[in-house]
Amino acid sequence: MPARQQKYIYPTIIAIALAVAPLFAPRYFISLLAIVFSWIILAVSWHFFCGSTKYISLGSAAFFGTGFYITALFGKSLPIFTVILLGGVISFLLSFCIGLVTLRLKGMYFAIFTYGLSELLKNTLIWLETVVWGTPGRFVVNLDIEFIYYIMLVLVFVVNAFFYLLRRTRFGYALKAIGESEDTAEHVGINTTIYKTIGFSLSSLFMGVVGSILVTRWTYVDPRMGFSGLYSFMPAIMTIFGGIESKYGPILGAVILSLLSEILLTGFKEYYMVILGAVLLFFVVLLPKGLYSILEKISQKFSQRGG
Amino acid sequence: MTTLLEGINVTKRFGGLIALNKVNFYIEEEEIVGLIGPNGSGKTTLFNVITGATPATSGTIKFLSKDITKLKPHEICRLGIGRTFQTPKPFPKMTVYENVLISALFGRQLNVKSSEIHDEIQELLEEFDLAEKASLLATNLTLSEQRRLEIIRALAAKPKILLLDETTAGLNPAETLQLVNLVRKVHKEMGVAIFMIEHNLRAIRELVSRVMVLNRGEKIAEGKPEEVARDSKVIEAYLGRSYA
Repeated sequence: MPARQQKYIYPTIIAIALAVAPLFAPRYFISLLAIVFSWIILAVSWHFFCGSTKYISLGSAAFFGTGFYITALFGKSLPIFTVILLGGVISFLLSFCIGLVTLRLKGMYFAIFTYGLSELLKNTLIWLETVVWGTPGRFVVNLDIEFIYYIMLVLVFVVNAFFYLLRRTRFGYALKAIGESEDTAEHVGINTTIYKTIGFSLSSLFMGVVGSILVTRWTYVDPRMGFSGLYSFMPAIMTIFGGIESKYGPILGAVILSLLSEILLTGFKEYYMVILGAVLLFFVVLLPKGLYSILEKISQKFSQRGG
Repeated sequence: MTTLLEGINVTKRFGGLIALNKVNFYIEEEEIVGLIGPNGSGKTTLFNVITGATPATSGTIKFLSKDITKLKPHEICRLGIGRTFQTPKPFPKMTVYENVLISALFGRQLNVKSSEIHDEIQELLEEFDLAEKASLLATNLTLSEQRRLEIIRALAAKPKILLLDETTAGLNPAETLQLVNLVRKVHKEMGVAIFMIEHNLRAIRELVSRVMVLNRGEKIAEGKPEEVARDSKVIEAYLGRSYA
């Protein structure tokens, strides 16, 4: 069989298996997979902007939370696909405005500002809910878990394909050049401000979409859930754990860390944070290039032996 | 001949420090002008002000009679002003070819067909003796190769004027000679004007038609290289009063 076709075998098998899984697998398993998918989308979106430009954003929760709360507010009065789309578009617009202002900050300052921003949004919403509207939280429309599963599955493929193709365009080259040397990028004619802002907004778009779908797993939500710091840190941690330099890194990191979190949360609830912290520390110190870098080395060894 | 680049009373302040004080200059089409001066005299600052990296505090810079003082670096690049950096700043984890490609894609006023771009880049790489290294990562090049890459990158954007910031610093005499010859060739074949910062006056003496001397942010002399070399103010700036 030609190598070109062989390359597509495993992805096709996996895709088919995932597509028919809800017919056989228990509901718990389907629900778990839907969560894993949502983390993959968050990590891949984060990686698209932060991985190529090297601007580390800790504000993902702001955009996830925006989608999350759009559904909480309008989920019962509008058709669900309209709400999901709205969640994505509003996140896009919000991050566009924020990007224009904050993307002149570099390094640490950008990371701290984006984190502060998601906290600001969270606390503004809490204030609005409790003081102005007089409701500490909201009941959300409920979607069937199989429906969530299929949307997430489609989105995983759409997001990966979208960012993969985008990386190979003029636009993708511009973002990579900014990450390599922003000074030089400016001096060869790249309008760095506009490229950074649009790249940041595109990655936020999908975070908003994920938020607006995932919220339907709960029945009653408040702003603390959607704007939780977890959603700011996990996409970054997963990507760095998996390998920020590879396009597979965020997928690998998201799958392993979200499954690990699930196992730890169900089996060793008291030690969850301790064990997760220890695992992360171990990897950051010993494998700064991420898990993917070992896999690459191993596969190189095997192919050398085979050839 | 028409004036390509012109600066009128260009001043740059960093807090209390006056890095450039009312400097006037002009470069004509297809001219090669040298810019010399002791360390800290404001040479690189002048380049940064022209390219928009650090905008001027006051004064005007005109390019083809258009005021470009307030424009951003990417806009200035697209108008036709290319530059190199004193310490080469390539895109380190991209190949030599990609480094040049990005400049060709973004630096021009008009978009060109990608097949034409490919041929042009190939030609530039061959001319600068980097064709064999096209698929290497830029970070793996030697200093001399990185300097040449800087020039190719700037040329790929089709500039009308090229600002070269100490292109020969740290190179051995053979490499210096090679670079000077390349600059001469590029100037002849592409008709691009060149404004070059250089410490080594001897290296560029035959290349430039005119030299400008900066000292402590002020222009102290201007003229043919041999005249400037005899100027007492210039000798004083470099060696101290007792030699003047």
